[in-house]
Amino acid sequence: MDIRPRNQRSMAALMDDLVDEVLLRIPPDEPASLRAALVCKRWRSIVTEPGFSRRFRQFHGTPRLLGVLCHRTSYPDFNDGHDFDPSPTTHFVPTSSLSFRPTHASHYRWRHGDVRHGRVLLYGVPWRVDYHMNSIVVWDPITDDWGPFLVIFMGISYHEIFTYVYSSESNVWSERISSERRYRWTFAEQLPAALVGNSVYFLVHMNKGIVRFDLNLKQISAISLPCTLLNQRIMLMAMEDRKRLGYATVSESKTFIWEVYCDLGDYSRLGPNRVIDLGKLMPASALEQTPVVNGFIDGLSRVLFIWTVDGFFTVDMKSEHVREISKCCAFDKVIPYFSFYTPESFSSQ
Amino acid sequence: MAAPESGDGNNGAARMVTLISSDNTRFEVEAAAASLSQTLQLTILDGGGGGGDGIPLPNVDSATLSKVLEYCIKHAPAAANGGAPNATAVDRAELERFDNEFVNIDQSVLYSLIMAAHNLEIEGLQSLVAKKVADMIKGKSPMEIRRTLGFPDPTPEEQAEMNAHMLEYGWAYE
Repeated sequence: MDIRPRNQRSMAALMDDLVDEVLLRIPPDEPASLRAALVCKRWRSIVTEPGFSRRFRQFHGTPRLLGVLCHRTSYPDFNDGHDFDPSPTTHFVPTSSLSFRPTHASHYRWRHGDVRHGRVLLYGVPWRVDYHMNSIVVWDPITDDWGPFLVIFMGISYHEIFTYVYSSESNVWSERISSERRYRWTFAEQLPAALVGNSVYFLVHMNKGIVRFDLNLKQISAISLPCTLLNQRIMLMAMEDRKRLGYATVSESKTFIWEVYCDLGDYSRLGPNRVIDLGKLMPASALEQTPVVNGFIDGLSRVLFIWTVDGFFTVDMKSEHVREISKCCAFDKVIPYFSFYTPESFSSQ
Repeated sequence: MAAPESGDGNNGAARMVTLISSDNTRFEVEAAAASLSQTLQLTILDGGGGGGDGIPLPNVDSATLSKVLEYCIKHAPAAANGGAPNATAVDRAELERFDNEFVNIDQSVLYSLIMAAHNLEIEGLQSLVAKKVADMIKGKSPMEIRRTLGFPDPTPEEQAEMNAHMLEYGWAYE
């Protein structure tokens, strides 16, 4: 064994079984097993042993798909019939066999924008009087509450791209941070943003480009995308190294994962980094219409969430294991809701 | 080994057993507390450890054993009623507070404790110390982990190997 402890009672001398016990208890939200792998040869063999990641998952659980958020148009009782009210309502539709049901499953006149770390960002929908207009709410369906969070608001004006950052801990919005508008983009897409490293990426203007906001440097930068993406449905995501930005898109029954090359003008010669052939994984009936990548989770496994005419599927990007999670397919703008949740933790509340 | 008369502890005073550390110190402790150890539980169920016999523990010194027993005595009542279900929130909070302070100790003691917990198969104690060590190294770089846990400085070959892996997995440091 390749260890020379300073004294007999050093943790460096800990036997493999116990090192394993220690490493299992490192929180799942940091790449700790990789750091551990670099500590010494013996630790490396412990964390790279195939059983370790299985035990790690068993120990911590994986974020599970608990439901989907979808919009439905409401016809409230007080409506007199003359006055059709097309205000959308965000609904939480459970898809999990766990008995999780949020206390408040519907949010009338709120529209969901994004989901991250188990919390949902809701936008107020303006109606008659501008009641909810310009309101943003952060909602945790599990606790019906929220922990500390940041909200990054990005907008595009005639001259500028700008952001404001709200911190729940200080309960204030930051100063306006802005950057000159170099491209003719005029609006942001209301699609989930991607968090890669310390930057958040937003799609803008029918996929003409991406606005990047660096949370550390408080800087905005703009990335132009190839025009072939115009109006396609794409999903921004972190690439496998969690360092680079990429996106997923579906065409011809295949999911393509592309890296976003921030400094290149010409993408056309670059092929996709990854192709997943859905034709081999999904029933033919699901592929009668082009599926849409609706969500992505990046935990111990990287899972895509794909809408088809036949229902929703998850695709594990490593094993290419496909699972149908819901037959329901009539939703508009569906976002999957994943979170760490165990029935025990819920019942003890 | 003679079966002691004191039986299951229902007739008045709780049944006591004697444990003998590697340096020959004798510890008298309630059978219920010692039974947190899966290893000892079998011996105790067989009637061992009572009277003048005592159960020798050649791998555990007296300083470590006294610490182990402190844990067992504190946790025995909760373990007796099958863990958490009957425990009140106050009891649980008290145990948690005890646990937090209990592992707030020197690393060499932590090491002896986890080894003893492993040998004696005291699952709760083993997890408690493992969690403590995990907390000590979380968020640290490989080099910091080595220092924290008292690894010797890497040899040039080890250093070269670490550097090579660092190139590959450098992002794990961020």
